[in-house]
Amino acid sequence: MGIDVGLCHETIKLPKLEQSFSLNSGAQVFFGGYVRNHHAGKQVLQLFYEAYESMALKILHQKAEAARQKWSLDQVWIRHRLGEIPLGEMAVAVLTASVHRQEAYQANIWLMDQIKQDLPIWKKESYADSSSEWVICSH
Amino acid sequence: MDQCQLELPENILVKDLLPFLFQKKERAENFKLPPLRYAVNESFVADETLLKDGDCVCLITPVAGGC
Repeated sequence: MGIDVGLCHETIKLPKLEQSFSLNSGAQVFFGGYVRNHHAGKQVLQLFYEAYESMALKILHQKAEAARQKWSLDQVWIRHRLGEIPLGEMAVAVLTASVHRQEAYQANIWLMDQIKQDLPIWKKESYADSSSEWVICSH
Repeated sequence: MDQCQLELPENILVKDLLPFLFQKKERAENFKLPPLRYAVNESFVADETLLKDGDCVCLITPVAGGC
């Protein structure tokens, strides 16, 4: 399967896990990041993501390739959604597959950390009190 | 995102770009937010990177991908 990364402006459509699975892989790890209804004590209504898209895509490819080599992954699949995202919907998804589970787990965590640290994507939260704010968050 | 073209002196470092940007665009004052990172031609670079003609520089304020 190799590497498949991308940005999207609509609902993230996940691959069918069994169909995307390589027979070489014994483990597949999926992470989904969802829009929650609170942050720092404020009631959140929705998120808005803006990106430097061409650079973000380039970095996503670089990170995915680095992870594939470091953990000998069979598969890296990543999507990050942009624009307005309502509560409860998925903003980011990372899928990793490898021969054994440890590599897929570690690579998945590392990729999410890299996405939060280095991807030129910015997030604005809209709150119930009608205010909004561009946030800095590494949780 | 906002963008503009700048005429710069030769042998200028990416970290020394801001005063020229402030002259061009008042809104650039917003970029004083630390910690600022620089990207040249869509790759992150060190502050001491020498700019050359035609480079595309992006001032990266703290990012917040993921959830």
